[in-house]
Amino acid sequence: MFNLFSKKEVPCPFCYQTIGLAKVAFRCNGRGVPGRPACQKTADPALVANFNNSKPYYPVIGTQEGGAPLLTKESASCTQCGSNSNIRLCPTCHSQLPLSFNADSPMFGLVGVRNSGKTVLLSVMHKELKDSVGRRFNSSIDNPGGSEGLARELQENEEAMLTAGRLPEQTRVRSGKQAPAVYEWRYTKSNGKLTSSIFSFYDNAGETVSRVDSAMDQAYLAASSGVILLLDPFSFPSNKERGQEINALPVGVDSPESVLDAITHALSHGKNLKRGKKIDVPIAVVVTKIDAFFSEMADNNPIFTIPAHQPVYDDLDGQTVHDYVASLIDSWGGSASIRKLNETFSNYRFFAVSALGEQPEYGTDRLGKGGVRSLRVTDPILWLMAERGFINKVGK
Amino acid sequence: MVSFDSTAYKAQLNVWGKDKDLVKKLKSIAEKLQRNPSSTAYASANLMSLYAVDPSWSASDLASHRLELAKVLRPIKKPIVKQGLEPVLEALGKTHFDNPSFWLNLDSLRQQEVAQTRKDFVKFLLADPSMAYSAISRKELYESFKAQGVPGAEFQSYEKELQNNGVNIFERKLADDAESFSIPGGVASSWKDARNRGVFNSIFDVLLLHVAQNERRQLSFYSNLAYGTTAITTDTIQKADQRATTASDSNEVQIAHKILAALKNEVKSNSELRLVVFKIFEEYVQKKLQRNELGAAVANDLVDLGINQADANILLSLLATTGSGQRINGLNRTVEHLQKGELGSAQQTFSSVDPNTAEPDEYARIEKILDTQIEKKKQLLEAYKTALGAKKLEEARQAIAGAQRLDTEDDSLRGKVEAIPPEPAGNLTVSISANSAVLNWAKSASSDISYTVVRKTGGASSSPVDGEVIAKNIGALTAEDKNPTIATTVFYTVFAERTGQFSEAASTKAEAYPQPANFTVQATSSTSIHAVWTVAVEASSTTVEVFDSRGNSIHQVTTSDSKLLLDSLITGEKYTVTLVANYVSSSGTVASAAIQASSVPREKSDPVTGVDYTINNSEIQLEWSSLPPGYSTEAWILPLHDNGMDFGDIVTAEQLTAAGGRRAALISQRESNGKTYYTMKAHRGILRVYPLVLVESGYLVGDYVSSGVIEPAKNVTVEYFNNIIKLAWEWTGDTRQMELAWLDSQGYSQRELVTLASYRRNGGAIIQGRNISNLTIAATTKVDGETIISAPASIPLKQDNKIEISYEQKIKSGGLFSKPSTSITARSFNGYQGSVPVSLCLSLNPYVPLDANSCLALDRFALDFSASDVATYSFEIPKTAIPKGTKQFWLVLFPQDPESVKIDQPHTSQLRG
Repeated sequence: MFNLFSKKEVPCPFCYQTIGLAKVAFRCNGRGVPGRPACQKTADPALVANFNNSKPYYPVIGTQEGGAPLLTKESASCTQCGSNSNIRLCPTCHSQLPLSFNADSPMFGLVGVRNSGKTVLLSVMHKELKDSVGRRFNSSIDNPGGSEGLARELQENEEAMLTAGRLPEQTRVRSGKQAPAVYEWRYTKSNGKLTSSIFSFYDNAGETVSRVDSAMDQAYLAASSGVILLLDPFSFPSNKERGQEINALPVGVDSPESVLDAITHALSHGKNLKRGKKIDVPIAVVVTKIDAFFSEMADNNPIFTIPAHQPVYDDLDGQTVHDYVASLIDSWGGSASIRKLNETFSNYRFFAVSALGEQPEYGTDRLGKGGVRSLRVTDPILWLMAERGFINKVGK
Repeated sequence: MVSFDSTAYKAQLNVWGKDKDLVKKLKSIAEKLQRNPSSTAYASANLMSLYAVDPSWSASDLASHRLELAKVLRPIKKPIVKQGLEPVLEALGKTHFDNPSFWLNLDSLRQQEVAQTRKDFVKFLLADPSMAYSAISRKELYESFKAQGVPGAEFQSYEKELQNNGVNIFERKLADDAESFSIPGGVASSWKDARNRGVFNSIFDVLLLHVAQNERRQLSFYSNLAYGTTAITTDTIQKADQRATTASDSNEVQIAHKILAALKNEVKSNSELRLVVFKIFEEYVQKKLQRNELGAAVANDLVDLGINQADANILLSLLATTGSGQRINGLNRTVEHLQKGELGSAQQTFSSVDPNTAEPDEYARIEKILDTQIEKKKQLLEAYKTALGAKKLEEARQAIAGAQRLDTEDDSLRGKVEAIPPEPAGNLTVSISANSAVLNWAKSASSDISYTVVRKTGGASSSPVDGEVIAKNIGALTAEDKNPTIATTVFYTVFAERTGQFSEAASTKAEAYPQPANFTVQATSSTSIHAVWTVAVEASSTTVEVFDSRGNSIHQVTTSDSKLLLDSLITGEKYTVTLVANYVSSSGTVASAAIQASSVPREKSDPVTGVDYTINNSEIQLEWSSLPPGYSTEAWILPLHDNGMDFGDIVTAEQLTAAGGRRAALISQRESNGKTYYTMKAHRGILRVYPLVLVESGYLVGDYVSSGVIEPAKNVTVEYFNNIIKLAWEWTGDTRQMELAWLDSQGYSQRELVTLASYRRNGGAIIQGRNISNLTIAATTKVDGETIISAPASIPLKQDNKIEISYEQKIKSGGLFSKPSTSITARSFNGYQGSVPVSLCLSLNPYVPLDANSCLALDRFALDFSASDVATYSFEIPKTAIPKGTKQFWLVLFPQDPESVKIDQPHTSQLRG
């Protein structure tokens, strides 16, 4: 049935530009019809410009003679070779839209200042999503269209951490965009119906969010349906000195408040928020590198509870961890950040995660001898997915 | 008839009369003409105008004009007339004045005169100390022109003359503006910080962070702010800052980022940016000058930083003439000459410096340097002569080259250097065999030497063309003669050469008496060996001698044959055969050096087969079927991977080592019942062990076994979470799985095999529950279908003897007639029976209290588990404890003695009231 209230426009999961789902571009499938020569693969200028991807692809239908892409809904006939194609593309960046991509596909932004552990966390999260989360929810979580761009980088990072025992290199600001890591989460509901969701992450270099003007440039924040904000525990006033002693905190790292200001500014502008209104985008505030503080926490601190491997999000556990993390942040002199969150966001939750399980050697970027032993890294994404109703929530 | 307005002329005389310089000049011309009538000094004044002459006039016109002029001038008493115009007119006389060609030539003469005057003036100006840096502001220059009486109309031509002499004429505006300008605070402090840390050479390194190092050339900040032809503007700051944010994080980048941020915030225009850069360099130069560094050296420093010479000179001229760094021009130039190795020019320049006007310390210092250099040159020339006399050619060459470096202008030195021949090749040796004579000699102290090698019989070569040339113009220190003459004395001579100059000969004598070659000795049966060899055709015979294993000679023969069979030998005994080739030379029979080889008479052996082994922690015992008598074995350890060695191959020790092999450490070896028992030290890790049979040509490869002691897990760590124990360890060697074993809380034995893949997937090994004991870990691996397991290592577990309880809480809000209250149901673990003292704590903070210290104890009581593992408790909260308007409070149970009691807190929803 036609849904009068369904959104017709949605951000592209790759370039975050708004696209109308009834007017998408199509890539020729290269088959051709008898009597007409098949199209040849060449580099797609839009992919080159957007993601430095110069691999050869069949042409975008309508662009062969220098024209604009032919925009339609279900399929299109190639104006050159005559083949009928249903390979949907974003009209702006020409990335292939996953089959299950629809107006409800969420976009999650991952932001954090330089050195807050974004790349490490994303790399471990990439592994956990495909592996343990997939098993826990009896789902298939994959990168549609194969590993490209960030997804490939995360895969390589995972390899580097698992086999070579070293941390990924620090992310650099890119001149062109990098294709984000797009995930397709599919599972069969109890009624036997297949359901799926597309979500994507973008790994930005930390310095671009630490200043308001740069954060504004991040189109993906404006398009995001949820934000994962990473805070470096060493950037809180009481922990700074300790962070510098062990080389975990470079000089000049922005305070959590300034990062919050930047994100708030970017989100309120991106979402055209009216004055006095709180931002309703769910924000998962994640304290990373919590392993550095294990020794100061009681054995039975709820943060150490390994969530049950059930295909649900345990909101009671989540709320408890939220309360304990808030208390930790307060003890580190970060109550100003909490107040700022209270005043600005209508739906936020604290998380504490450890991507590696123990502190790496910060000087040499080597992992601990025991390898990667993550703790609660997927809690934030599961909460966001639960907030959207894609996975079930218990304990509310 | 010529036209002459005498009234106007007289009026003009009043104007000229006020120009005292003109009066002086005319007076000087008159005097010069009077002394020497053919002088052309008159050309320095504009006579045509002064005498109102038209160059087109004829001789008669000029003559009548002269008379008219004399008439007009005579009654006038002014100095311009009486000391200038009249005497000059008189001195010119009819000859000059009435001659039309005089006036026609006067213009070109005058141009020459003016040019000469200009040149003289420029020379004078250049000698001024203020021009030490060949730069002057236009304002100061014009003031100087005026002071020296240069006519205003000629300023530009004078300026051009100065520019032609390399003088940079600049506007003072930037320097004047800079006087009232201060570097903005943020920029000043961040740059100061960078300078103190010594991170950047100059501010340009920061501004041009985005520009490749090799493109940061010709930096300028005075005439314009630029690198090469590209202007540096506020946009440049943006670009550099962008680079700072994309570059790999480092201290330099962080500091650059700070400076650039300050520049972005505080510098609003391109002109302000130029002032900032100028001020930074101004401070840099001032500091150096204040440290009494030579101005020229400071200018060189600037150029080394990439600043163009013109701007460096401008800055020095501005600061050196106004600051404390003024230097005497001549002294500076002396230093420059010395730095360039121009000793002669330095002496000449220094002699022109007036010691009375020069800064005394500086004068003395430079005089001392100059004297030292002169003395040094003298000493070097002496050393050259001495060394040459002693035929120490290289020493002489080094000395004269040193003198040449000090005084590059002394052409006589160059000739001397070129005339010195190289030293002869030293330490010449020759090693000779049947097919080759290899010559070696020592490396010369000089690098530009080549060598020619000549061979000759009967005596040494006297020149590079005397004999057969073996090698010509080679740079190497070795040469090979591939056709040496056997059994004849030959002379090899080496000549060193440098730029056509040959050294004296270095010769060596050589006689080739090659050893026998292709020599092998092999067992042909259990009692015989067979020796085979070849000798050079020049050899007359071969002497063969055979020794047993104790070194006793058992056989000797001289033969013209090239093989020998020895039989009736003892099986398993090692025999050594020695050969000497005999040659007949002019001096009699000469024997070559000896060559020897060994063999053991024995049957042919098969490779080792049927290998088995037993292992304990420190030893491995191998066993296999015994070999025939006369053979021995050696066990080698090689990696597990394919090493290319097949059954029956014969390999050398080098090949085994190259394949990663090493000899096993033998402990003992014995034979029993047709079996060999070989005990060796056990090795870490699983490796292949090969018992190899020693044969004449190497090791005979047979069967092998894969054995060894498996590496245990290293760095095992145990982490305790609320409901699980997590284990992590370092995987070592080829181990791919570990076996964990423990007793669970019920005392049942549990086992789990953890593969590397599952370890990575789960981030370690997870054991559900916390009450476990006797935890061990053992490494296992499977090689050649067999599972090898290490000795289990015990993992110590934390002894947690705390009483552990959990609880659930229900908080009721108070009503109109009731107080708020809580009811708690607590449960003890592990069958604890007794009472547990606890505190019920209240916190009004927004954050859940983490311990009893961060909240208020409302009640202290004991939970009684003596009868049951469940205890209950209720408490009414006094209304006074919770102020009106409190939106949220926390009620939490904490142990009174945290050292002995642990309380597992419920979800925070039960703690929040």
